[in-house]
Amino acid sequence: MMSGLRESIYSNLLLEDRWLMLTDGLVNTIKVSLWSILLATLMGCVLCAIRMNSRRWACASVKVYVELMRAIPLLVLLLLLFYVILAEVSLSPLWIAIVCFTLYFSAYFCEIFRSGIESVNRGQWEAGFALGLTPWRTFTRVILPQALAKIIPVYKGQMITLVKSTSIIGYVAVVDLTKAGDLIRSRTFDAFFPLLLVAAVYLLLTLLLGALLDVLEKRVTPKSRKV
Amino acid sequence: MRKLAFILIAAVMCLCSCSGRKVQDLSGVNCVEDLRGHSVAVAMGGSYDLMLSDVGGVDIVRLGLGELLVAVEKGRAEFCIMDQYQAVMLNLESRGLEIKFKNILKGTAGAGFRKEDSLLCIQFNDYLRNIMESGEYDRWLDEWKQAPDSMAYASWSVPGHDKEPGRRALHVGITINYPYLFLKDNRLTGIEVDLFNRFCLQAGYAVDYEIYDFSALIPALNSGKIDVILSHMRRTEERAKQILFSDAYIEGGGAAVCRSAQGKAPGVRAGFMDRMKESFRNNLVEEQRWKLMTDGLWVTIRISVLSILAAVMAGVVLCRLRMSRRRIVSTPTGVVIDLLRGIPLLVILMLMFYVVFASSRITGTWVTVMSFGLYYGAYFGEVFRTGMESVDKGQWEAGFALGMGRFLVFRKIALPQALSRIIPVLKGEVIALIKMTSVVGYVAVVDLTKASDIIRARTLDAFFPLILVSMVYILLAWLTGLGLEAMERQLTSKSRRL
Repeated sequence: MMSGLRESIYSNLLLEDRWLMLTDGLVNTIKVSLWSILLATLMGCVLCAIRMNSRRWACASVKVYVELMRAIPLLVLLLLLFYVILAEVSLSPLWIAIVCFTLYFSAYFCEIFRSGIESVNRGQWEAGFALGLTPWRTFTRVILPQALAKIIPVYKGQMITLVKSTSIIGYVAVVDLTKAGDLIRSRTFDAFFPLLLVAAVYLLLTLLLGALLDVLEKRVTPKSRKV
Repeated sequence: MRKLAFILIAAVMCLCSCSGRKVQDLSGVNCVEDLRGHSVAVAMGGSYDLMLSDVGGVDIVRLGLGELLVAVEKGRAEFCIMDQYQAVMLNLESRGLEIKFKNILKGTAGAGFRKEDSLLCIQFNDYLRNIMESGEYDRWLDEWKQAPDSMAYASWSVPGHDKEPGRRALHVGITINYPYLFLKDNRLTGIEVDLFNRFCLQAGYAVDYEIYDFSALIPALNSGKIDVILSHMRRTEERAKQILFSDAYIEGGGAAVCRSAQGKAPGVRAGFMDRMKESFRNNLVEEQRWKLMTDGLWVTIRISVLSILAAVMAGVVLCRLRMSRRRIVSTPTGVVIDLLRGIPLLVILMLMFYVVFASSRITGTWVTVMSFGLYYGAYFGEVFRTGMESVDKGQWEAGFALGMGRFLVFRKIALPQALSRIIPVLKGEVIALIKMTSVVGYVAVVDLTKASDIIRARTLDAFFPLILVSMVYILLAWLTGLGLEAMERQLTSKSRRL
C-alpha cells in the first residue's frame, strides 16, 4: 500500500516535474474563479438595480435575461461563446471562460440580491424617509445591512458553486485543475491518484472560501443587529 | 452608482481594444519545428500532443478530437494536426482550409487490449494475419478508401455481433473519428468498426461499442470498463507499457491544417434563411442525424428523472440523519454533506466511474444516476432541513398537545408548512440538476450535449447544433419549471385549507 502510494506520487507528480502542471492548473482555476466572482458580483448589482427599477421595459429585459441564463447549461453557454458569439474576437480562452461565468452567475447573483432586498419590510424604507434620509442613504444605512444578513449565506453557496463549476473550462482548452489532472492521467494512465488529488484540492479550495465568507458573514451580521 | 457605471464602461472599452484579429503569414511553415510560436490544436492525450510537448515552444490548444477543425476555422488556433487520410476525405477547400504539410509522425495504429487479456489479442492477430496473407485485407481497405459511403452501408450486412446468451460480449471503447469510426443513419460504421465486426463474427464474440474521450480510453481499459480500445490508436512505446497492442492494421500520419491564404471559396453568398435551411438539412436531416439528437434527448430526460428520484430519496435520508438528535449520527452526516458539496460534480462522476465502480460492469448511465443522486442528495437534504427547521417549534407542541403522535404531527402539520417553503427552492435545484447532466459525456454516455458534439465533429458546423441544443435545454427547463409550479400551487392551497 505505502510503496504503491510512493510509486503513484513519483510517477504522477515528481516525474518530469508533473506537479508543475497541477500548480499551473490551480493558478488558472483561482484566476477564473476570482475574476468571475468579482465581475459577476458587479454585474449582478447592476442587473439587480435595473431589475428593481420602475421602468417596465428595463425590468422586463433583465427578467428575460435572468430566465435565459438560468435555463441554459453552463457548458453549452461556454461552447456558444467560444465557437459562435465571441468566435471572431481574439480574446484568450481564459477570458472567454471569465466572460461566460460572469454572464451566467450574474443572473443568479441578481436574483439573490433582489430577494434579499425585497425581504426587508417596506416599512423600513418608509421609516427612513420619515427620518428625512435620502433614498440612497436609506438604502445604504437601513436596508442594505438588513438585506446583507439574508444575502450572504445564499451568496456563499452560489460562490462555492461557481468555483466548482470552473471544472468545465477544460472544454475550451484552458488547462485548469481538472484538465491538469486529466493531462497527467493521459500520460501516466493512472485512473485513481490524480482524480483523488484533484478532488482534495477542490475540497480545500471550497473550504477555504467558505471559511473566508464565514468571517465576512460574522462581520456583517452583528452590525445589522446593532441597528 | 456613477462610479460603477464608469468602471463598467472602462471594462467594456478594455475588452473592445483587445479584439480584432491579427492576420499572420503562415506560408513559411513547412515542418513540425516551424510550428514553434504558433497555436496548434490537437486532440488531448493523442500522440501529436506528446510530440508537440517534446518540440517545445508551441502553443498547444488541447481539445476534443471533433473540435479541431472548427477551432481552426473559427481562428481559435492557427493550425490543427489531424489524421492525413481524414483530412483528405473532408471537404476542406469549401471551408477555406488547406493542408499545409503532411506525414507528421508516420506510424501504425492497432487495437489495444488489457495485458492480462493476451488470449484475445492473439486471436485478433491471427485473424489479421489470415486476411492479410490472403490479400482480402488490401482489397477491402481499397474499397473503403475509394467509397466510404457505400462501404458504410455494406458494413451493416455483417451479422452476428448481437448479444446472445453464452457469448462473451466485448466492450469496445471508441472515439468518433471519420472515416475510421463514425455514425451514419444513426448506426455505427467505419473502417475499424467494420474490421472488428468481421473479427467478432468469425471468433464468435458479441460487441458493445461505447463512446469515450480519447484521453480516457487507456484508464477505462485498465480499470476494466472496456475490453478493447478501437480508436485509431498509434502504437507508441509509452502506451505499449500500459496496454497490449495488436499487430498494425492501418498506417497513419498527421496533416497540419490551417486557414488557406485565399480565405473561403467565394461561391454564391446565400441569404440567412437559405443558410439556415442548409444547416438544418446538413445537421439534422442528412444521414438521419436527428435520430442521434432524439436518442440523446431521451437519455438526458431519463437520466434527469432517475437522478431526481434518487436525489430526493438520498436527500430525505440525509436530512433525517442530519436532524437526528444523536450527535454520533448527525455530525458524520454533516461532514459527508460538506464533502459532497465541496467537490465538483465532474470529479465525483469520474471518481465513481473509474475508482469506485471501476471493476463492476455498471453502465455509465447508472453510475451517472448514482453520482447525481448522491451529489444533489446532499443539496436536497439541506433544502429539506432548512424547510423543516423553518416550521415553528410551537406547531409541533400544538400537535402533541392535541394528542397526536410524532409521525402524525409531521405528516399533517409540519410537512405541509415545510413543503410550501421547500418547493420554490427545490425548483431551482431540480433545474440545475437537469442542466448539469450536460457533463455526462465524460463517462461514455451519449446525452443531448454529447450527441451535438458528435454531429458537430462530423458536419464541422459550430453554430447550428449548439444553438439547437441550448434551445432544447431552455425548453426542458421551462417545462420542468411549469410542472413544479403547478405542484407548488396544489400543495400550498392544500396547506392553506388545513
